[in-house]
Amino acid sequence: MTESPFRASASVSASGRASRRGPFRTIFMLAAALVVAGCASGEPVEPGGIADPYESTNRGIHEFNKGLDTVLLRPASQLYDIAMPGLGDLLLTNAVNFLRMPMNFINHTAQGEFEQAGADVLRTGINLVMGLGVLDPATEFGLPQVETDIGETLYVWGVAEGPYVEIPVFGPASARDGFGRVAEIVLDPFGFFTGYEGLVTARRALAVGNLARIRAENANVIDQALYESEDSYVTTRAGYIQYRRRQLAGGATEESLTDVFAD
Amino acid sequence: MTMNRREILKYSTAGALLAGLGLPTAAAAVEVSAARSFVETVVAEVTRLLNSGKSAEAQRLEFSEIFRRNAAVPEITRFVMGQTWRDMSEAQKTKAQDALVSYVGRVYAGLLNDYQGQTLEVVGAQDFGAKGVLVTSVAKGASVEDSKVEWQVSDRGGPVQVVDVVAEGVSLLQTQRQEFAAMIDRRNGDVDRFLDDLAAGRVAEG
Repeated sequence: MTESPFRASASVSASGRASRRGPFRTIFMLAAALVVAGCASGEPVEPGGIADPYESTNRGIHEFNKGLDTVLLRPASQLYDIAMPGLGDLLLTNAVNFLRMPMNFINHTAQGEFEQAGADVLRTGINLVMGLGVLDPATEFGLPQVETDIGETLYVWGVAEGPYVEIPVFGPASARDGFGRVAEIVLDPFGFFTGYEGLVTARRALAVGNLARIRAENANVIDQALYESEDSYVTTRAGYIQYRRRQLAGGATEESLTDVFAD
Repeated sequence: MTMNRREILKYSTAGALLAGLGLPTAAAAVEVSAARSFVETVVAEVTRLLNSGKSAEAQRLEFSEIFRRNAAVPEITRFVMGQTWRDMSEAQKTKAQDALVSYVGRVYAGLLNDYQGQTLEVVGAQDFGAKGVLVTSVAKGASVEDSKVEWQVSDRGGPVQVVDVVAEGVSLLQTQRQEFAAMIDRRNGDVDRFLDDLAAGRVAEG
């Protein structure tokens, strides 16, 4: 079979059904769109400021997301708190973390963090054999979960943050992170095994449950930003971008600190 | 003797160069230990106030005073007012400072009340040169996760003062600045109306 490299990875399917066609093409188009969009913004940004040339559009999407949160996500997270006992929460967290490991491995490797990439593989092995994917003995052995994502990989590669965007359903993001989030979903190795119904269902269920879980975990901060602040859009934007910059830099940096004595 | 003169020349040139470059010499920047003990004092004051059992109104007023005494209020006001500051009259600038002090008392005294029963402990400090010293404290509670609160301390304004507070990586000043800009926008640039609303606690409307 003479298949191009792109098609080869997209054709892993036990039942022979065509799985995701040209996921890479989608990504390249998305990347191109974002690069063009980034070039379009000509407004100068003060150091430490946030570029938001699409503010009016973003505000609209924010209102939509907020509505979605009020109607769906927040109730779901409250339900999660009630319905999931400590053990259920633990198993779900472990399962989600377990399925994240291929992506983490790829990203750590791409960032040059080879030691961590090796640890990711070891974790997978230990948790698969000793934990069946739902227990986490690896952490006891000194190999905790170290999360990363494509957004961080792009940051390490020197890709600029890009303008602020609010994405439907996904919420706040920088252009770089937004692209990363979509790419993550499309490129996730487990996503290519579409022939295995059990895996597909499990992943979907975990995704939904995880969303509710994360919302529940951060209930205080999110509730305050969305429902108790004067302008939820600005609060979300400021909070997300500052938090993300800090997370990527690994702590406070001189640039990130405020300078009230500057002119 | 020649050696001494050369040394003197060398050091004075170096000093002049450094001063010219605007680099902080050792005397100019606040000492890390001084910054740390300053924050410990402020934290102790705030904790005492929160556990004092005083009325909400009394707490608000006293918190405003703690803010006024320990923070670089004029510079902070200028920063959070953003671009608008340049076009403000002297009267408006004074009004802005008072409005901000009362706003801080109201909003943050209320927020801090959620932290009642938690302890705030200073755990470290890091020197960031001209930007000051970042003192790290951790808020620990019985049933909540630890949260990190950092205090940016500087003496560039004269006395040792708080110039920013960073809660879980989010700078209060930078967030407030963006919020104020949006609020002023919503009032079509009417600074006086904004300041009145700020002082009275009506910023949600407008």
